[in-house]
Amino acid sequence: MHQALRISEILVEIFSHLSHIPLNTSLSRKSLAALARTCKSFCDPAMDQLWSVLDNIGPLLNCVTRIRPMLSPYTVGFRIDDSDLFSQDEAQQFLRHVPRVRSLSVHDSRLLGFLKSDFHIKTCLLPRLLTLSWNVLFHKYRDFISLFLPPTLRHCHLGITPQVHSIVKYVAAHCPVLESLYIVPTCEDFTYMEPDEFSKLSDAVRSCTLQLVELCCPLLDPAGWKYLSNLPTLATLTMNADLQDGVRYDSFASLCGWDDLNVTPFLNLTTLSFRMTHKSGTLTPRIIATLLQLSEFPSLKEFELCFGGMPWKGADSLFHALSRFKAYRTLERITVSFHGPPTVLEHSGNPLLMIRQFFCFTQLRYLRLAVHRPTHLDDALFLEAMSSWPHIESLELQDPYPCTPTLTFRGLFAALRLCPHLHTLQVSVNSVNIDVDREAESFQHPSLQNLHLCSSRIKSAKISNDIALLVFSRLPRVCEVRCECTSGGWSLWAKVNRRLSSLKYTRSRELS
Amino acid sequence: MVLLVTSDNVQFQVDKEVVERSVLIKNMLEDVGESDQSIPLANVSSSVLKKVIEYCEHHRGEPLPSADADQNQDETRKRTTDISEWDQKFITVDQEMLFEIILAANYLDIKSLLDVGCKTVANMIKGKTPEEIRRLFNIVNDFTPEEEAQIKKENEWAEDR
Repeated sequence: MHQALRISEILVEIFSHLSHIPLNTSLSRKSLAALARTCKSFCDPAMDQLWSVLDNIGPLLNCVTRIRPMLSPYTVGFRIDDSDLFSQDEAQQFLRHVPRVRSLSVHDSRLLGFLKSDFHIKTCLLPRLLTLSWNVLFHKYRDFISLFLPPTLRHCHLGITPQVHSIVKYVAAHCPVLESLYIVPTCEDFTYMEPDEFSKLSDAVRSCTLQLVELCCPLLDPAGWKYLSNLPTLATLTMNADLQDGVRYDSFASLCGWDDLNVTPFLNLTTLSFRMTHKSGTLTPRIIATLLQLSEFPSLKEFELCFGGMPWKGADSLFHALSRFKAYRTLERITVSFHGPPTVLEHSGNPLLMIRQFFCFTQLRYLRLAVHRPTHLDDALFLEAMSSWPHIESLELQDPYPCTPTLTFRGLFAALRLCPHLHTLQVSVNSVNIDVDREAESFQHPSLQNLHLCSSRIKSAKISNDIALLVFSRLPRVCEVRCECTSGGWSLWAKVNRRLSSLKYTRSRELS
Repeated sequence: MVLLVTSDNVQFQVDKEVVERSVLIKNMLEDVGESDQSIPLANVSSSVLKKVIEYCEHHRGEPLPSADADQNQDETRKRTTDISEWDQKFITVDQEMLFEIILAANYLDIKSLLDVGCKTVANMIKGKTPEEIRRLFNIVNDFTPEEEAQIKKENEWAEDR
């Protein structure tokens, strides 16, 4: 054996690469398990890597000789009675590898039955645990979480678990250096949630460490917001209401005193997201709009707003709030996405106004708008947009309405001159008439690679050829033009891409 | 230029920018200041240093990993398949040389070279049984049958899937 394999820091380095085989946890674990059995000097470093991440507490229980047969995959529906409780000696067997565990997921409440209250270790079982994911369905096992909360815990994910606020309290009390907390409660939690429980959740979040860097939680009340805004370390905040019924949230939130919310700083917040898969009520957008206008967000770089659906009144108030967003000097990424059935007919305002609300964000590098509302970009508006965003790298304007676009190729190329860093563009272009003379000038865009022309329609094979030649000469880094067309439109766009490939192939042959 | 002297007493004149990819040498040069003195590398032979210099020359000017690199960067670095084409060609050497390069990279503190070497060894190990690993690296099994059986039992959960 080469002497390099006798140096423990080199072994740790080699084995750590094996614990990160992408998309193949099984191969990773098998390889580390094989290393652990290769020789004594490999055993500890391999076991440290292998046991560092556990998907459940089964492997720890598997170390207890008497319990092992009960955990066999062939043993179905085992019951735990008092005789199954650990002896002192068995507790030691259970604890054999716990110092190695750095990340643990707990979801099988049956296995928790082995750790009943007279377990010989009363304090936290996993002294070096950094990450805990807790998805225990039954409330009677709630107190067991304290066995998995060392004071050094950094990351905690609370998933499917009832009365999540009481669990958050536990975590807050036991983990003074917690950096990230994800609270993703069940749908049932919210369906049966009473208004006072809603305040309790907000109260529980307020009891968390002052060192939180990342928080994902349901929408809170004004007191919760005020607390978060004053957390000096908070960098990422996601109000994840995926399972939260927007209308029900509205009924809770209407009881709170939002008018008393003060101007709040969020000094170091860099990422702010609102996500709600249900259709929102009318109050939620108003609350978000109020927060956007009142808070300072001096460091905000990323903003995301994803709703399952939203009444246009709410959407309008949000777009208006965005134009007055105090983070306009710093924001680099904006995503606004409203899914659900199209609600365009509800809208009666000026459709051109929507995109104008984003012109104030002069540092913008990434903008994605996927809202059920036509963008109706014309040449002048697109030029104005691009001159407002000199640093733009990715612009995606999804247009779900297959109406004839008013942006022309001439307008497109004129605006592209203003944004040399753009690598991704999704926009509808009028492809019925090609109004550009490709011989007249020699402009080539240096960066654009991904071009998506939404539902732009082509009417003839000649136009297909013209578009291919235009893309080939002006956008040398684009290999394929994507679009969303009806079956008839596809074949003409396929022609564009075939012609484009052929032109690129001929050029590469000439160069070689 | 910096003068390096290997364990077999061969001298190498190397550009300062190139040798400073080694944190050990960089720190030494900073401590000593401007000097014509040679730097003895008692743990590195000339054949290995030649390879190390070839690596450093190729990666000249690339940003060095910072000591406080964040966790994501660290995770990306650890992906076994993530070896560039040039690095893969560079590290296609016999096993003795591979481990000598790893030892030298560890001693000279050249993190990216240590990564390339360790990833290559990790790729050689991937999916092999204990017996195959022993044969590959000429390792003696120093476990008793009982000890090996115990480890196998405890790690059953990892091998069953």
